[in-house]
Amino acid sequence: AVVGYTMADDAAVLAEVEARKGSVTSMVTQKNFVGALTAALADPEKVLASKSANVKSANAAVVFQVIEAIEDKEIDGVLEGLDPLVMDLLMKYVYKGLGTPENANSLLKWHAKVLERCGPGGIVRSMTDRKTV
Amino acid sequence: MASTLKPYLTCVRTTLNAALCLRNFPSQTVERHNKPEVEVRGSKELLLNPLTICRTDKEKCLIEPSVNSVRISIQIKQADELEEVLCHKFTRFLMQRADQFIIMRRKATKGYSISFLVTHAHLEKMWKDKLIDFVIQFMEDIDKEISAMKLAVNSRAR
Repeated sequence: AVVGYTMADDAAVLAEVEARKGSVTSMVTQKNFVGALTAALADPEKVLASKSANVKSANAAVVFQVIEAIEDKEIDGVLEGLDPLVMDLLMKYVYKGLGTPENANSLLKWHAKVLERCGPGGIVRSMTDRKTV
Repeated sequence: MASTLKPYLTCVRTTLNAALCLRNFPSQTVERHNKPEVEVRGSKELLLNPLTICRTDKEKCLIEPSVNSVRISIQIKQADELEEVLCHKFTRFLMQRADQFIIMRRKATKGYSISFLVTHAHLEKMWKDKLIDFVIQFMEDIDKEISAMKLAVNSRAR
């Protein structure tokens, strides 16, 4: 958990997100989807602690970039090795994505697959967690 | 379009299953009162994060949970003006008879066609699974009803 996060830290976090975007894009082009997804969902604390919509949407864009690149039949393979905490975070991003109508088809499939692994607890945690994505 | 209906409804069903974990919670501001916190929106601590599930830009479902109540709002697909009018009239008809539906709200949330308000009291009397079945069935049937009405209007016009 991050203590004492202020608006001044947002610029630094945006820079981190940009760096993450760079490494994730390269992994996606190399078809290393597991690596790309893990990198996109890594270090979420600062993004979760931030109150700035810019930071959150920038990070969400990185995650959705990976999600869009992964084909439906590969989803299971990608989700196989993921940590439960990362799975919860992924569920939050799925709901964030479902809030807008783009990619609804694939996100609904992701929702079903992630749900299999994290169970209804994952949904409850996306509803109750004050630190939103 | 038909291909996304089943995943959309499953998503709504599982989300509702998680959201409809309600408990009795008397009002903290007025003694001896028991109000649905999602409607009162007094304390932030009692409200959970609202979740929107979009199927398309015209069709979506908003689930606003709280500690003792959940508000479910549905935006029905309205492809053209005729469907808009039919939808408006049909939902108005249903909402006027909201007591019969028990969980229905008399006014839809802004931006949506129809809303339900489920409180802990409802869940104490009714099976949660059946209640969710009802909401999902409602979502399926209302689309069919409006298409049927549109066909009827068009055939009568001819």
